[in-house]
Amino acid sequence: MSRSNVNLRRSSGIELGEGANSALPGERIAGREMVNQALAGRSLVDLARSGDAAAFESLVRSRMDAMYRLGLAILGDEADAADAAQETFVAAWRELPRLRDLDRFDAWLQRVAVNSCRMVLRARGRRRIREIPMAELDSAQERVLGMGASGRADAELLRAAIRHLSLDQRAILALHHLDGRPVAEVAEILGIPVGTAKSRLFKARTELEKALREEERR
Amino acid sequence: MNERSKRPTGRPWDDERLAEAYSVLAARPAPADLTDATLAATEKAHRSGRGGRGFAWPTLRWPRAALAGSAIGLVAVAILVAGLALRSTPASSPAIGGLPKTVDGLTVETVSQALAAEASGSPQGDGLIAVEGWLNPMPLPGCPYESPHPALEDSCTSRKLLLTETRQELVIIETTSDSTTISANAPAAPYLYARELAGVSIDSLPGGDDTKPNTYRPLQAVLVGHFHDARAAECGADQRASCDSAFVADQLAWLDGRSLGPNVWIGGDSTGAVLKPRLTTDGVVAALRPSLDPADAVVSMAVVTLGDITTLTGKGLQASGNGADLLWYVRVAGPSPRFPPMAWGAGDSGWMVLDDASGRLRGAGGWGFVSVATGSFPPSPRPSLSGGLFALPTTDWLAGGACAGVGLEAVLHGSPNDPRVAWLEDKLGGQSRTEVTWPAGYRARFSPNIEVLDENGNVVLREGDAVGGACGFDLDTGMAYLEPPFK
Repeated sequence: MSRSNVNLRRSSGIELGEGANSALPGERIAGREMVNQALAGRSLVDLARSGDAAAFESLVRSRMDAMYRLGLAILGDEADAADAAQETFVAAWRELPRLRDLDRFDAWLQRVAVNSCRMVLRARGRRRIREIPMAELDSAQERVLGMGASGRADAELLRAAIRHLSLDQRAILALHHLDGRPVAEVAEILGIPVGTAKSRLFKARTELEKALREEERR
Repeated sequence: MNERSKRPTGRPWDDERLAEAYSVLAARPAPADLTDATLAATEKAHRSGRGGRGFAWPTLRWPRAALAGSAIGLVAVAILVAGLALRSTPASSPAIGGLPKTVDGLTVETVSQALAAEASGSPQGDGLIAVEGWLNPMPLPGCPYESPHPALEDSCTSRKLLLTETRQELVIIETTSDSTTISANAPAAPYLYARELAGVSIDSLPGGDDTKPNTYRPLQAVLVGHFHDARAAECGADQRASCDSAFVADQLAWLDGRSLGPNVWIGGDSTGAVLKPRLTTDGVVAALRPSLDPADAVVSMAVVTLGDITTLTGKGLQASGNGADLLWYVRVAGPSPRFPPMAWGAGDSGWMVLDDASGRLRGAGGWGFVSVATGSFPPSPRPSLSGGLFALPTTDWLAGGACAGVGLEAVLHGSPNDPRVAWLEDKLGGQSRTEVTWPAGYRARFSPNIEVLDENGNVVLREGDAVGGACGFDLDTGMAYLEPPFK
């Protein structure tokens, strides 16, 4: 592997040529050009920041599931999570030129996602409900369904309990517990001091446990 | 099947169970068409012109951005709050009607009065003041990534409390069939743009939930806080002046007709572990009460480890001892404490540090005094330690503010036969011996003259070394409390 490939992996966190592979036939040239530019030392994030739609598409494809999962963990609702994930990338495309530290793209994107969840929560009362067809449930969900009743029951309890929490509390809990991120990383994503993150996490955890106990008693 | 019927009971919601529940809750990939729909929405935004999409930077309005609705009808709003100066120029004062005239024993001032007082150097140092006005809950901004920055530096993500002198609807929500715009007007009246810091985070603040009506309704409030926070020294050169003049809120004392108690904050330590103090807040007040003046009022209480205490106090504080010790950092308004008997200044507020494990006072500062003294010390050294080392009278007192410069022109002397082992003598020979107390862990040895070792075993002073300053003196005994640096 060339040094350029290594640089690309490090800076963007995705596989080289991912955008080219996922591009439609008519877009392959653009995707290949993007790869060529990446090989020349520019990361996908850098390319996307400068307006390269193909590079941005690669970023979207490689991170959509993660943003959707984060949205699910914060909002507890599939349609809301889809809205938030979509809004995350729309906002990311708009705000990318303002991103100063390209190496922080993923932390920045997750912060955008948290803000998008906030917006979705605000707009919840005003928007239509979009149903997710059952056909969209794939093998991953089947794995979930196969996790056993207690796992699903806990997830349902959690889904109900987080509705008692503020958005900020939901976000810090999801960031910390969904993927096991250390507090320092959560603080970086949320853009708050580590001490503040610890305090907020402690309080959010306390509130969540209280809500969970209430849900268990129902 | 009813999921609830299968709910496990009795199992604690520990990290493992919670992580598993989150994993199940979120273990689903994005819908198959979501990526394409998102790219289509992005393309639509792209066509509308990247970089200028609806952003406006009016002089008297905060920047706002209303996003176009997505393919599934989502309406979202992004707010950028920026560009406001920290404070406005003082102007006319409103009537106080309905507000308390004092809180925590402090006279309630208007925003204009507070700004004018700060400009004239009052109150002294970081003394507490109470300011009334209208507290304006603000929408949370969407912020780009920011590197960690000093606590007092202005940034997009730091929560600020906008206290205006007169009531004014600052947040405007405009909703149409397919979009919502939230904008914020700049205050027309004098205002304080108060900082809220980690360690004194105020939980009782209203607002922040757009799903509830009147979220952004201004509320009459009294904030207790201070200018000239010690952490201003950590700000970059370009922001130091604004950090120093920033109003840092310690307590939301009164809100919309209700008096609120001391602000209490219990956080985590630097490893992420949750702090679990032994004492209750009532217990802390009870433990402090003998040291306080009867007129003193507790404004805020924060639990912190000794190792992290400078996040609250600034780096000027000298802390020796076990970094994991839990401490209560308590801000107090009112006359200077009865104990320790220091030469307190003219200030009317300060801080005290209580050891959670022992319930013992470990430090104090403020009240116009630049340093602190010990709360307890042995009257004489213990017997010699192993290895030929001698115990010195020590204290684990936390020294706040500048320790040097109290005014010593002395040199160190010592004798293994002296009950206190080491002492100071006036460099010019005009004054006799001065007794001293050392930081925790300090010891002495004689080889053959005295050498003072710090808690790590490093020699920090030798016989005849000059000592240029102390942290303070006990008024009754004249004893000096030494903290490094000694020269």
